[in-house]
Amino acid sequence: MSHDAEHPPLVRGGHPEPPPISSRSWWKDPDEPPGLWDNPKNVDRLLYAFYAALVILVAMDAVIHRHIYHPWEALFGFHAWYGFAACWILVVIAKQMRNVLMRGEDYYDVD
Amino acid sequence: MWIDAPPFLLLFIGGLLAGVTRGVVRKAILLVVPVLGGLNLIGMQEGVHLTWDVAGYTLTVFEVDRMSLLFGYLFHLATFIGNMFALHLGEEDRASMQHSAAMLYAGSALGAVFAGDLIVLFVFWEMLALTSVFLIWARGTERSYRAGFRYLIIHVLSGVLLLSATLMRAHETGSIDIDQIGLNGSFYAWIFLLSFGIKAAFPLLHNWLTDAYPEGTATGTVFLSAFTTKVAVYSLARTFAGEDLLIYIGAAMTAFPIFYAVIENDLRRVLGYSMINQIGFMVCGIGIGSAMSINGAVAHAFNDVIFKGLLFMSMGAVLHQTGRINGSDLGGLYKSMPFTTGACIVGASSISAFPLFSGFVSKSMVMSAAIYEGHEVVWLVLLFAAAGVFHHAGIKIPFFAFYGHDSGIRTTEAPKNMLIAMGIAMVLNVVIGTFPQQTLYLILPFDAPYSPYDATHVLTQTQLLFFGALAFVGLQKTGIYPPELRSTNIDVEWSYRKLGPWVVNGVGSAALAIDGYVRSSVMALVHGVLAAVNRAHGQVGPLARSWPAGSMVFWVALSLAAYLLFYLYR
Repeated sequence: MSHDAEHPPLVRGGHPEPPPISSRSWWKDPDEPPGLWDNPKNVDRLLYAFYAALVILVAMDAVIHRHIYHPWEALFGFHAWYGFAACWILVVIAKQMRNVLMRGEDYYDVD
Repeated sequence: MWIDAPPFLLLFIGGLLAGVTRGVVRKAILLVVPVLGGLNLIGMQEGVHLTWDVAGYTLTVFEVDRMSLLFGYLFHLATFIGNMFALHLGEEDRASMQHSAAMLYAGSALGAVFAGDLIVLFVFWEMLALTSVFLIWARGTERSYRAGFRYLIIHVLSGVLLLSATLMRAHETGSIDIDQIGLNGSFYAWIFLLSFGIKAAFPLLHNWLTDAYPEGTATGTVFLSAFTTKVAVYSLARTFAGEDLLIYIGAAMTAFPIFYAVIENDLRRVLGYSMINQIGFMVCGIGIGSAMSINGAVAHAFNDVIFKGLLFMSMGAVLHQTGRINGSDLGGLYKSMPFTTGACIVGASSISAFPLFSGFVSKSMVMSAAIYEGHEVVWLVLLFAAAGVFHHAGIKIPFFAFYGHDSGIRTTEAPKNMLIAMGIAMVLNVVIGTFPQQTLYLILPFDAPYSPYDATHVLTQTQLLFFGALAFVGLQKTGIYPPELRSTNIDVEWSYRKLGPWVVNGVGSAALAIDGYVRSSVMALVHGVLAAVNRAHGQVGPLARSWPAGSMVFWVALSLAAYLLFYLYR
């Protein structure tokens, strides 16, 4: 993640502090041992397994004879690249929408 | 079958009892009543069960067929799971109000799907709004109070439209039956569509959902997500099946909310947008109108209640335990709430339609129907939306709540009853997803055999989802993925929460200015006239030289003279 998760940019009108946590929760002990996913090696292992699954899934396109209902489906790995492109475009457009649509979270609370 | 009571009656009685009892007795009522209601439906004969003669008309209060029965089972199941999830509520949570409202709300939903005519449907339609709003108000905040009022106004309006359309149709055709209406060129058909469209959250009419649901209580929103929109889907399936317009409305519903979902910070509002996306698949299925697509639409409604309920439950558990629900304020909760994390992931897998999870066996019916019936562009839109829903609901919700950046918040798992409720929904999602032929497909309304598990479906869907996930990984690693920000995104509600007040205030001040100008002009005119009269009739005026009686005699004489002249020279 390139953005600084500790200090996300503040939207004008946004509250600098999040709401207080409930009485059923508390802040972590500084001496707490790291969790499973705090270790970057574990994240990498998960990602390698994930990438391997991707390769297998595309390779299966060559093995399994798919039914073709739409002409585009005849393309090799159609659903793979369509899914990838759909999500990428979705996020890029949504991010641009923020320039027009985003206001402070108290936008409707003030006149 | 053993009672043959109208389904809404049992839950209404349960709802009233839940309002006046406490402790173990109330808990027993909350769990036993939906079970009794569900058993009551088993083996129920199709046909009219109860009519009511009022003022010379016969209203069909309770009528059963396969489609209403499916929704009947579903609503009892949702009530049981929801009541289980809310079982821990104490008086500080306004428990009496919440339990009572939830059961009366569920009863209204049952009344609506078993209604035999449009008048009865209208009554329960309005009761849905009047009972459910208390699940929003019970939150007790200023925001929830205002959001509840907006919700209530919009839903009462939907009911008024339904009644108007019903009366217009009755006047033209003499029928109040709930049967195929379609866009038949009549005006009332459009009013029906508008009324149903408000409740089904059609594009531009959708904003009440994303406005109100996130303001509900942690437990109340689970009920809200189950009933209102599903009653609308049921009504559309009854009256507008095969209406082409619905295909395009449905496709639009699947696509546009996911953009909002990506940039929304409140995770329950993200689920609200994703709910509109899922209803889009149902509306599209209804519009296609084949036996398979309508089966797909109602099957997806069934599954959506369970997996969206599960997602709302997992977020409700997070809200209950931490007091927070914004993506920007959460993260790392897998360390404290592993079971809830698992529940959320099962819900996410189901809504994303992974093979072996419930969404797969119903969404694929709608998508297959779209391509079989030749709606190729619509199919591509649905495919886009199917990838997108995995992105925002399947990955974003679990990632920002339970993984991502560790917020440092530590807590415990939610109360046991909440975990049990989530557990039941998890099991249902997997069982329905894995064994659809032995479960959900048995109760579908139409005979249209469908097999979701062939190599093509499984492979293509898995490819779509895994490569969608790859896009998420890539966007995170390159820093393109937009961070969660404490913010509000402008949607249609802007028109009635900002523009409307501005216009009203603007018109008000303009009216005040015009009013002031007109008043002063008129006053000046009156003063002028008075001054003129004073000049003529005043103490020194030429017409005031005689006393008023004399003046009157003078004028009478003058008019008589004029009359005489007219008479003589006519």
